[in-house]
Amino acid sequence: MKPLFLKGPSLFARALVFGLIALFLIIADYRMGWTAPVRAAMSSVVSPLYHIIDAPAAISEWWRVTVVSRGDLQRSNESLRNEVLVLRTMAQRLAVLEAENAQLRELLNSSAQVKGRLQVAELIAISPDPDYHTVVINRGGDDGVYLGQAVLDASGLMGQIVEVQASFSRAILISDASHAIPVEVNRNGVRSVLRGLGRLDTLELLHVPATTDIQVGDILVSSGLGQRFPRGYPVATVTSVTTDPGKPFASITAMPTAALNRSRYVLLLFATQSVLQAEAANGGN
Amino acid sequence: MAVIKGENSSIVISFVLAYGLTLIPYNWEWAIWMPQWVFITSMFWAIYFPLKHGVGWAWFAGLWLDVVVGYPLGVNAFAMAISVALAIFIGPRFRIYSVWLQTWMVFVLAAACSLLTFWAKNIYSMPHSGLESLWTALTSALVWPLIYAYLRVVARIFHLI
Repeated sequence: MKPLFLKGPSLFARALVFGLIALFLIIADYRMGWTAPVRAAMSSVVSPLYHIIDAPAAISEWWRVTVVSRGDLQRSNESLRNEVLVLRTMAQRLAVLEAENAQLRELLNSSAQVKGRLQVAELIAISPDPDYHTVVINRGGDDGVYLGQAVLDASGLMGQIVEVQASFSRAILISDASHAIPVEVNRNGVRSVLRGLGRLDTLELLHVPATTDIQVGDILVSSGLGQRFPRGYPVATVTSVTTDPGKPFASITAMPTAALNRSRYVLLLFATQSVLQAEAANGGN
Repeated sequence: MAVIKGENSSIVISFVLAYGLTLIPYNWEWAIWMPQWVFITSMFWAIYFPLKHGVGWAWFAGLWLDVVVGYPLGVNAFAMAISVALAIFIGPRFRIYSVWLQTWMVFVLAAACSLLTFWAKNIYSMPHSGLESLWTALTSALVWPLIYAYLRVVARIFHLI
């Protein structure tokens, strides 16, 4: 059937209306969070796409692990055995130190530190936008992932969960320009806030007075003050300290210890809110 | 009338491919160079079949892109609706251009789309990379001849032309 009126509202009037609806949606989503059910419904349709796109990488990973010569396996087995031996010896010392630490904390009237449970997850996609450092991982609400959960890799903190869907979730990295994390210097306990700059290899320490004792090579660990990240995980290493007498604050940059651009396997840390709160309360001790 | 007509499903399939291509890069060094696949696809259908794929569908395609990439809903929808309206506006001229001249026009339209996205991102955060996102417009223009050839074949198979 031929439509009676071929000319509807003009092209740019339609563009304007749709543009305004989109602007309203952005605010409704970001400020009010009204659109969560819509996003959840659409995400469940999209989620197979992540797995399909990741399939070649997953298959090549499987191939790399499956097709290995016997000699290679023996060699890696041997080196792993040696590593386990070394780590076990270190763990023995750790047990003694932990007991001692608990006693000292008791003397200081602060609560004992509780270790969180870890779960391994696999990275299945990254955000293709350099302005927006997020990754998609293959665990979701069905696996108990929750908003704000800390994400680590073997060498340090990577970021936190910002979106949870049934079968996948999205984590923002510490290098994203909108992300900041409270940290302290491992050497002397100086506290500050470490902000991402949108670059994978550079983070910035905020508002550090020029006379503060921070040196190149210092390790920054999470301080637990934001009640988001658990205390004591390595976050970054200081790479440059510049003090300009004309400026009130030193300009300090650091490099993330986690391999933000390379890790395929990440760890999800399950820590209860009460533990995080207790840690924050004892942050100064 | 069939429930799913070939022409409509071919449009849907081309979009699913575009979303898939969007997700392919595995690190951020490559991501800077990723063409705006969804925008190019939407632009093609809008210029050659404006009665099938108009501003509303471009808006909808942008909404799905927001879900796939994880932006607040509406960021890409906003940019796509307006830049595809521009594409429809210049469509009659665009169709008679040679493919090389079209490539230049695609650069301009894709740049408009990425700048609109950039502007929309400013509503909720401070994007740090200013004109860096124009690289995606450049690569979008460079892949246009390929996309054009592919989508022409699809359109011909399903008798859209």
